Amino acid sequence: MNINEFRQILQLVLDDEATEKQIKAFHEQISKNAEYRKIYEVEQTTHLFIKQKISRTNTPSNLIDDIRSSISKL
Amino acid sequence: MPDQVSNQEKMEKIPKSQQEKHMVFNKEMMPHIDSMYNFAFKLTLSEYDAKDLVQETYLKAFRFIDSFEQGTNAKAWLFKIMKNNFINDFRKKSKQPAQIDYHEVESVYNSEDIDENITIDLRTESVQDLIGDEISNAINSLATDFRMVIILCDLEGFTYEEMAKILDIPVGTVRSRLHRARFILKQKLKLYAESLGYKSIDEDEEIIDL
Repeated sequence: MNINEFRQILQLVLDDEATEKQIKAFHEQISKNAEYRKIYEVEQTTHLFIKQKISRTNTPSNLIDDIRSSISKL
Repeated sequence: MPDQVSNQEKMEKIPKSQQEKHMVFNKEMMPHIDSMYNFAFKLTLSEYDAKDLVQETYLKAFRFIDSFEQGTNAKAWLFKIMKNNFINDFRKKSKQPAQIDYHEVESVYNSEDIDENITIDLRTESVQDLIGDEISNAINSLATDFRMVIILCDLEGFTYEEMAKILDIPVGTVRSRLHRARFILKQKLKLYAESLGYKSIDEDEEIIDL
């Protein structure tokens, strides 16, 4: 598996979209290739970090009432 | 059994009474209000516009609630309405400047040898603290199409299949768009990290490491 193929499967693994066959091939690669394992560890951390840091914006308190009010006028 | 399913499907298509519409709306649509507002805010980058977009989306959802099949993914259905509303109506109405042309952006990153090695090592907390606040800025500065896939996948947890339906694009395009969005995002964060004085310790790997 070359580096580009590895990175394509890596994205699928990190997004829980890889097939069982791809997961198996992926684990084979990271168990025998230190460079790939390091890429995986770094990418996994980045992936989780970005997920955690994407902030949610609080919903305005009156929004639900405004929607209900608009719908009642239909 | 097929007859039963077929009959059930026919039942679902029968127009609902006002009371039923409100019941379905409250049960299936309203629980997603926070995710909807958040998506609207990420698209419009304005509290005022986000509120407008959410209201328009929910009004449209109520009008077309007969076409929603109970038991299917209400959240994905609402996101699709919002995306279409934003692309077709809202952006024109709010007179926002034209967004970056996706094809133009894509062509920049479309080469086979896209710099796959851009990697930021965030395994130490000190780097995470420094870069944390920059994530939102970096995401907000992405072109809308790239911003959408990051939000849908990394914040809302939609599958590739669900994202394909929401965005009306093939799953393969979801995959490549997500890949490019993350590449641009990492590139922005790498530049930011470098501006703070961090250098790659291993230039061959281009990993910013502390």
